[in-house]
Amino acid sequence: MALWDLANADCIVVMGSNIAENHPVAFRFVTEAQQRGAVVVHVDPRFTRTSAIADIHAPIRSGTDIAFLGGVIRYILANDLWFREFAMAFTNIATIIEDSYRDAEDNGGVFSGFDAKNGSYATDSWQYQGEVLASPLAEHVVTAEGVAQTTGLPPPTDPTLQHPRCVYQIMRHHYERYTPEMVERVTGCPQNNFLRICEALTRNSGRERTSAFCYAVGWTHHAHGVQIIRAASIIQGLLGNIGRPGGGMMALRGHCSIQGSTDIPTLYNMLPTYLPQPNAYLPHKTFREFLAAETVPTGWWHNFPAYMVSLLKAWYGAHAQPANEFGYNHLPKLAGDHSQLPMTLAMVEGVVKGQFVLGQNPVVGAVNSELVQRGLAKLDWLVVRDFAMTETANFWQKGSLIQSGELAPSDIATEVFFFPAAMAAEKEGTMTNTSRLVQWHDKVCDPPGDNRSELWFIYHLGRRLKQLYAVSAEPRDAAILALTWTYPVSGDAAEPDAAAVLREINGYTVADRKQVTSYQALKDDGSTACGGWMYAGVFPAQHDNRARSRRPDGPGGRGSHQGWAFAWPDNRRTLYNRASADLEGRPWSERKRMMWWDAAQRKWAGTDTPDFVPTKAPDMRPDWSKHPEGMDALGGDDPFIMEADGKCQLFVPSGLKDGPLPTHYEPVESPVANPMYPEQFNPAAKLWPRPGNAIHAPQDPNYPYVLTTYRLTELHCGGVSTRVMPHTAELQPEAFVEISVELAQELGIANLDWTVLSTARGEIEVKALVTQRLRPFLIDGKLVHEVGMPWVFGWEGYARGAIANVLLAIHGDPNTSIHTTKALTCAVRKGRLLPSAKAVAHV
Amino acid sequence: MSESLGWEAIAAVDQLLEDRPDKVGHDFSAATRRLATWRDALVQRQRHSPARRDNSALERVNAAISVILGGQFPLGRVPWPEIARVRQQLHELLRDEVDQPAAPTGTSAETTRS
Repeated sequence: MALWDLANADCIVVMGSNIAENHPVAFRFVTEAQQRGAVVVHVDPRFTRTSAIADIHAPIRSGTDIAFLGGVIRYILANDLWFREFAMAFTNIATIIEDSYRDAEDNGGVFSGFDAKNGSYATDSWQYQGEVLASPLAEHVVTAEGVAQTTGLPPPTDPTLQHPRCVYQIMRHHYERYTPEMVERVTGCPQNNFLRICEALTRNSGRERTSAFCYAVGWTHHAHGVQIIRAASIIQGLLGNIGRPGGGMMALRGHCSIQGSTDIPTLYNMLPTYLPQPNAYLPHKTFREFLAAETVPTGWWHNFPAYMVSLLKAWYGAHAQPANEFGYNHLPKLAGDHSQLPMTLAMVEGVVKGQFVLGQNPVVGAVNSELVQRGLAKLDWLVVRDFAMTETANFWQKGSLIQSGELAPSDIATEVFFFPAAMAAEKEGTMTNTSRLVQWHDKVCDPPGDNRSELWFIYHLGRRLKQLYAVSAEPRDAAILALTWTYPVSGDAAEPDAAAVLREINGYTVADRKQVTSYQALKDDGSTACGGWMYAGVFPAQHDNRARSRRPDGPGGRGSHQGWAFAWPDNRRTLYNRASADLEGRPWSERKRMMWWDAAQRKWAGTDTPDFVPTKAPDMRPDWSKHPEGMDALGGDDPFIMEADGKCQLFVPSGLKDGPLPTHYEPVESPVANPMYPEQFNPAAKLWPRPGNAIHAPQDPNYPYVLTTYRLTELHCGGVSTRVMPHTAELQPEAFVEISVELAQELGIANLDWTVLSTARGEIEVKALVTQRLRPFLIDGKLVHEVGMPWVFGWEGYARGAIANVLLAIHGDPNTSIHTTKALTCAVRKGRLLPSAKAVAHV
Repeated sequence: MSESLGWEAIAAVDQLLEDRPDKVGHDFSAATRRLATWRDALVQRQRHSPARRDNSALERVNAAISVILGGQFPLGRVPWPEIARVRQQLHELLRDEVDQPAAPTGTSAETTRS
């Protein structure tokens, strides 16, 4: 959904986010909705500025979100408050699951298919009865046999919902124990508070009303983060709050083009715009095999070959021909999890020889900072680009290990190259963030001295590498030699043309180099090139940069603001917006109009670009006798076109590594035993215990308190850019830890006293902020204290302080490998570190 | 020097295949570290022996590191059959190395850092 569409919501639940402080621009639409009468809810362990504005604040213990959301699901099902017409038509609620499926409720807290030896699941028993529903992403194929299959028939369903293995009955059983009493027992949120939120959500959902969830890394940064988001998606599917005005899941993305860095990815397991990276252990040896394995038979992803071939043509140009499989063999194949966390450990093992750090400050921002520094100390070389000195660039001189005396600079042989970088206003390009909005920004002035843009650095690095390998006949160098690298440059600094890069990402026809206007124009025969199919249309003509467009709708306008920048795909503002109309194609209500079927024109019309085949009538049904493929296999009532069956996936047969339904597991580190299941934490979580990365056992008495970390409004991202600016640094001059009044009394700590926070990974000293913004929780009859600390400080700049990430452990969500920053355990004591144990210099 | 490091690395891979640890992660460290040390020694040998143009030993050890690292940090199942093949190929590599005439090996294999 678009950010401004939040203003159309009748209820907004902010959870896993402190939107007022971390996304203040987006928050204006929350307050606008509130002024129109919407109920605003904030579910969060801390009382923040978001809570202060909210109508209801519900504090919950960090990491227990699924227990809370599972309770909402139970409330909806038990009280029959779901939007029946929406969910029956548009979700898989009636679909029947395999006989062999066993729910975690009946299987000791794990789902069927769990391999305890490897800590991973086989998904066979989660499938629709008699079918295998393939996920389009290669990394999500847990088992090698996960090649797309179909019976050529629609999935089996029971519209009466009586079948014991239909999704409805499975969900009722799975969430039966998530009662308000259980929610309070697990999360610490009082029942009456929880029930007020359930009532607000259900009262504001249905034909006439819609509700939205807003979340950020407060949900993703857990060992079960993906499943938290899933739980809210189930609520929205049941309540009919997807694809409709004011309804949806608002993923509040990070400020520094975080959305862009997953679209045109810096991730190891994806090619641009969510195409799968080939895998050495899957049937991906040849391009033909790769396409056969990964092309989903039904739904929109069936177009995968056209996007993949066009990508290879954009990258390898004339070197991408049918005879050489369009250069497919130039692509590296995955051999394992090559994401940041494992690669940090690989650095410590001595495997990695060098690292580029661009737009990052991992010594501050990555978990287990001291282990990160140990890894950096093992490198031969390290390149850091930034516009001010960062802790990553001078770890060898001022780092935690230097401060503690464990290492001396002379012990570290890493050669560090620190390059001055241009700031945002000193270069042109795009930012893509919340709402998939691609926004161009112009250059205001030249960067000073030798400061250069990231584009300049990457372009000239690539150019020089191509020169170095120009005479090489080695197969491993062929990819670099084949790469198209012909961007025009200008000025004394030979700055590449960022618009030329965006034109290439948009795509063009190979024969005449004309820009394509949409991804529908892309072909699988090599006649089109496209650097990212979802971005097609952002630059539809040589001099038409839609990302630069700034035409908002006026009063009385359509309200989708399609003239303001470009939202991928196809400048569409609300995904799955076919769901804003009923089965017959009529808006669910006049108040919530968005898209509708225009019978006279025989096409979909409305205030947005239809996320559907524009001319597919609502009553179209697949002709299964003809074994339909792609979109022909989806009917006019199947809005969720990126799913193989066109349905909102309340139950997920394929694509998740830790279960088809969200289940409450405790955080990997927790001061309480799981009150609901014998499994303490996500059994598929990625754990990498090793010296320097020890994990606290559940209920470890040495580390009795919950620790959560967060950002500050005044210090941006990793902090350096604002810590070096006096006017922002003085607003948050030093690090602190928030401690409740109750815990402070228990430990004899007064406001501004020094405290020592410790975990098995490290210790830091920091001043206490004793506050009522945090309160202890009563969990399963036991008082549990939680402390919170901003992670944005370091030893550089004017505003300095301990690095919170020294305390954190490296472990990951099984689906994303994302780290855990929101729920760990720690010890707290009054006092200061012993001089020899000082982890951070407070200069 | 690199030959003895190679045998140490193979022994660590042998141990890995024998143990087949239930929980992946740190149990792979010994094999990973020894292979990395061997790799570093081969790099040194290459750098200090300009006449030696054959990169195949280095390439094969690098490939082995990729497979072992993929076992240490797997996507789904640990690729045990591939790890077994790696051991076989490393044995063959060392046999090939022994069969080749000795070449000057430069300074030292002590390339890992504190």
